[in-house]
Amino acid sequence: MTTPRIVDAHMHLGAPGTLFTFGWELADILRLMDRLGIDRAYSMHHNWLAGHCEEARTASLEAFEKSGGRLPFLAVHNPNEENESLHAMNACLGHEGFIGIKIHPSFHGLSADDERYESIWDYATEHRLPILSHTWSETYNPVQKLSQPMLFEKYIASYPRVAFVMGHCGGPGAGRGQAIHLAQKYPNVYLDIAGDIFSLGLVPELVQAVGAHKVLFGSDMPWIDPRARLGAVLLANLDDTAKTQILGQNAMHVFEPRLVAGERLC
Amino acid sequence: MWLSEMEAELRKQAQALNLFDASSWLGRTTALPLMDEGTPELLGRVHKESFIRGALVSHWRAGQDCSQESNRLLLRQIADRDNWYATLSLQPLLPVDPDSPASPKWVWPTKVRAVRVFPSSFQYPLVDWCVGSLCEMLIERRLPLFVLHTETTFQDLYALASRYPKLRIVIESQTRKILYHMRAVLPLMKACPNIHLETSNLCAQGMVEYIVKNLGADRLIFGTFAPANDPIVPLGMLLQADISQADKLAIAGDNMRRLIAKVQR
Repeated sequence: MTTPRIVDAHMHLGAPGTLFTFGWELADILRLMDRLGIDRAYSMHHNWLAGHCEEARTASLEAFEKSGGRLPFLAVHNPNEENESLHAMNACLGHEGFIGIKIHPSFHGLSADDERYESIWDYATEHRLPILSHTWSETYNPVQKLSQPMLFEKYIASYPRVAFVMGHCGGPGAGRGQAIHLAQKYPNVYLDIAGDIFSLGLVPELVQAVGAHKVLFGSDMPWIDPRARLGAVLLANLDDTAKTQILGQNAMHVFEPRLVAGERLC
Repeated sequence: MWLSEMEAELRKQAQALNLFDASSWLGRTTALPLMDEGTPELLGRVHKESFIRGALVSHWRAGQDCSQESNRLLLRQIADRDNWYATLSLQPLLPVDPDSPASPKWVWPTKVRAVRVFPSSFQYPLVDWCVGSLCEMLIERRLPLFVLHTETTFQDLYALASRYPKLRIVIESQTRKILYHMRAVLPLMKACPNIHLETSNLCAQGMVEYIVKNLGADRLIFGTFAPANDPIVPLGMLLQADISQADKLAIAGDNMRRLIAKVQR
């Protein structure tokens, strides 16, 4: 296999709940990836977030196979339903498509520093898996305060061997400053640009603050169209080396080190 | 090499779009704490870097405290910019504010090409009995009406657009996610041909193609929400959209230019 160049490190498979978006079915996703030159995308199935673990596991494995391995996946851990989450995750161990763990404190209604998250950080250490979490700023939506970046610090500091990706780089407000602070302070923290974080000059700002080696391209499709994020990297005022890292190398370094020279970080 | 080629191609295509931004802003808003102050200098630089050749410009003070003061500031700050036009902030014509188009002393400033209302912020409903006379004035002058989707309800927009079919209404996709509301926005646009949608936050997957295919490219108006947001976002959506070049040109600027070309001065 040729080394992928563009890797979307944050997307979802399955119907996006109450939301209407166009083209979320697997064939549509693959068609869009082909059109935009996205070689691989890391999926977190909506059904997994919603707690339908077995259904989501089956769909994720199927998508991995049908896509010819272009859609590796993260298993979602919900501490409120720990047994089911871990059961599904255990069933994925050893499969080449299983590349990491997703947590979502806001969606699951549990603060990111809650002690019930400890087991998954242990699990990630034991199985050498990276964790990607939804992170956001405190906003009009009250559940977002559960995912403020600083809440993750106790686990980040205690589990230095777990590579941790802050999804949405802390969101559109004060969370971004917190996310940058943590990525500067801890070698195992990375930031992805997925979602509707559309502020002026975001990507160069992150690169200047934490270095290009810590920033990952992600889309959050089908919520957010990948074109809303891809242009932000392709047209950013950055050199090609930085863009190459952001568009794919960093994601592979964190989630699929077998595809690039180097060892898995955790 | 592949990256340089890809970037060069996108830049070439962006140049060819002849972009006109329907949503540029001066000042700043507390709703977006990380944004830099929108000065004319910053906005001019952002336009230049983003291939934007003209813009409808607004001022943030309009939605926060005083629309009259906002309009004065706006007109002063864009006075010497050839391709910048004002989106004035107005209130219902009754009661008559001292600085209102209903006042005998009122003179329409020459740079005005659109009007925005903030019903929620100024605590009135966007309904006929309250804004009807304003709508009639806008129709007479052929001025399009801009409304942030967070400032009203889709029910009120439907009733107003139906009551005034000659009024061109541009729904703005800010300041919160409009993607949550597409099950209302799309039927609303289908029902009301005089409603257009601004694109700065139109980021749900495949939505540009969906609207072009099902409603027509003439319904979309390119906007950036700069300098709070990065024009690269709506530009990237448009550049890589799976639609014809003619449709891209329409969305990029031709639709808005056509609307404001009809404004009575």
